[in-house]
Amino acid sequence: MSDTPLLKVENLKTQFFTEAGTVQAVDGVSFTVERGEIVGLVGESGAGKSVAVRSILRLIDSPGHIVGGEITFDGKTVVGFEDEPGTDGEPTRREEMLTNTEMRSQIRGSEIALIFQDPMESLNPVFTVGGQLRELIELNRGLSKQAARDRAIEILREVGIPQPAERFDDYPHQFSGGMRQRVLIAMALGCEPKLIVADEPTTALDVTVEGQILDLVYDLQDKYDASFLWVTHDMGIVAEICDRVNVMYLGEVVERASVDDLFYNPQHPYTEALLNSIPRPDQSTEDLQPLEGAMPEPINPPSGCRFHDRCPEAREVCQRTHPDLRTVTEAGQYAACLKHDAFEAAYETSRPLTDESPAAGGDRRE
Amino acid sequence: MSDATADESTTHTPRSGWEEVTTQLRRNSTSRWGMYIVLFIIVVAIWAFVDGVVLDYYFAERFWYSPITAPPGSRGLLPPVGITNEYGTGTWAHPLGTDHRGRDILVRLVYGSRIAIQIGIVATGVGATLGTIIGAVSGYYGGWIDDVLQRTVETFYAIPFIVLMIAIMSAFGRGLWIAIVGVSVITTPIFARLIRSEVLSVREEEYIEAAKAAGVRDRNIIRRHVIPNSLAPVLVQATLQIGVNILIVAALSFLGFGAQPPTPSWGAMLAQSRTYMLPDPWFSVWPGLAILVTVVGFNLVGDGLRDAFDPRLND
Repeated sequence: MSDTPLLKVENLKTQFFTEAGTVQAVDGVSFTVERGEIVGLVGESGAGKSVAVRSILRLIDSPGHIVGGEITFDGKTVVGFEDEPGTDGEPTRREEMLTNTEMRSQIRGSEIALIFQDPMESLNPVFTVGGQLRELIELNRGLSKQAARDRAIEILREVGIPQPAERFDDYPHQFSGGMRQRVLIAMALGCEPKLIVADEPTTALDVTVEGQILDLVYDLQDKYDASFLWVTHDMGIVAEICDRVNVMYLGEVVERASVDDLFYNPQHPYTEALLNSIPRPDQSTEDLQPLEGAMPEPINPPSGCRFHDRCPEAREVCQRTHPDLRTVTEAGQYAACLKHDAFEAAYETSRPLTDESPAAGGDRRE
Repeated sequence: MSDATADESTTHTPRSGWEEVTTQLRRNSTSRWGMYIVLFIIVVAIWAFVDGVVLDYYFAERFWYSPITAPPGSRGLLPPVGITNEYGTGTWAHPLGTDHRGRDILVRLVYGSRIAIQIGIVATGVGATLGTIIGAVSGYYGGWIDDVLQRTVETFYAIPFIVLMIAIMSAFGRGLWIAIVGVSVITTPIFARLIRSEVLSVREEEYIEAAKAAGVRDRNIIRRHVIPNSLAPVLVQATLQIGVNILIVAALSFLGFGAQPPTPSWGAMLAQSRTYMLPDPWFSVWPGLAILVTVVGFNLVGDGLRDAFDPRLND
């Protein structure tokens, strides 16, 4: 058991069937989270990070549907489809896939907890902070009211709420943003889940509070031995807390590496571009290079490599061939870019596209 | 201010949204008058219920007049204090005068308040509760559940309420409880539609998604998260609706439905006074005034509540 990953996502496909067409928000994403590990999921806005993590909890609302792939968590099949589609052409759920009721009672909250982006909006404004925390613990851990209350106060103290017993009966609006995020972390920890999915939990906070929260998460991860899946667009946070990183672009994972390999030896031009767009203490540059252009709409993704129209290293072959994620270094770093030998895509002999690319056009405008 | 030390030195008493609202209500002088009126009438109605229904007019008959039967030897249509007509001069024994059968009008007004308040509050309460549940379920789930519930509700909404009431009471009888059921039925759609529109926005809030992610059951999400956060307009509407329902009850009594004579009720008093309106107008004025003051009282409280719930008007 211990050598299988805690969470394994394989070839996950989540699509939104809108009137304008099918949006392939997540298109064949695979990654794993090992026990006791903090895994980052990085990408620009709209890369499909949030949809991917909501798919893990099966929280996708209509018109969105998980249409393919497999998610296993701790030996349970969260998502799994038969190889053959059913008679109506829809994907058929496999027998062992958890029902909606099982998802609710066995997975959500108790095994996988989700921390949201906006601490201002994630607490119910009409009930006290302590009451909400207590109720959650009571429901998920089956404690008595008093025991749950004691436990709630204890967790509030652990996440750094001063005077937790007095503040137990406060309402969310009486807490600052940082305090509310601490409360949300307390709520996530309250049920002692094996995996905590954090969907950009520090985006709405200022940097000093963000630093405190990251320290807190680091300490608590040790103490509770929980795994984290940390969704962010901030490479700084990735460097600070993640063990391994998956970089997402337009519904796909384009690079997977340990955090050191990713920062010192990025293998995908997109990762490189992301790293060049932020200031780094270990390198001095004259200018930061923002990533030009915007991510294309996932409703009609570009042919070939999805990054080719913004890629400084794109060549003709990139327009035609769609790279999958392959091992590209001996250290076991994965990337989906044709420039690597592993793809045997005649990249070296192909004509560069740089001059007509919109990225170059953007440069000239400056 | 650093996050960890914030509020460390301050001792504070948590103030709930409800306390906030009642403070706002008291601060506004018109809604304060509304509260006084409503409280006064409710106290009177409770007394009327205890003595009238539970004790069968024990106190009224021993220490005052019976609201049901005229005291022996009393004259009908006596005017209020200080006015003289062909039947006599008004005395302090019957400060508001007597009705056509010689019963004291004040005592009938006091004991008639029970019907107005009972139907007003009970029917509005039942209608608001049912409507809230229907509307919340309908708005939260959407889809075909929403369609079925909303079309049903709209069907009731489309029928003129007085026609619907008369149909219900012709079919099931004219009693008080039938009237309560009928008024509840016509009140429910108002609340179902009101809360549904509110739920449509509340269900998109992040704390609802957070609750789903934490594995909370749908029915607990509706009960604990959706309804409490959608309730403000319902409370306002309920207060206003009590006034409307009191008017409906009066109208029904006037038409001869609802509480049956000799049970005192304001609408029935109005109906009985019709014949004497020109020579003896006070007979009509008193029950009309009672209805007016009560309805205005509830409306003032409702308006005050609406202001108290509106964050833009609060400082």
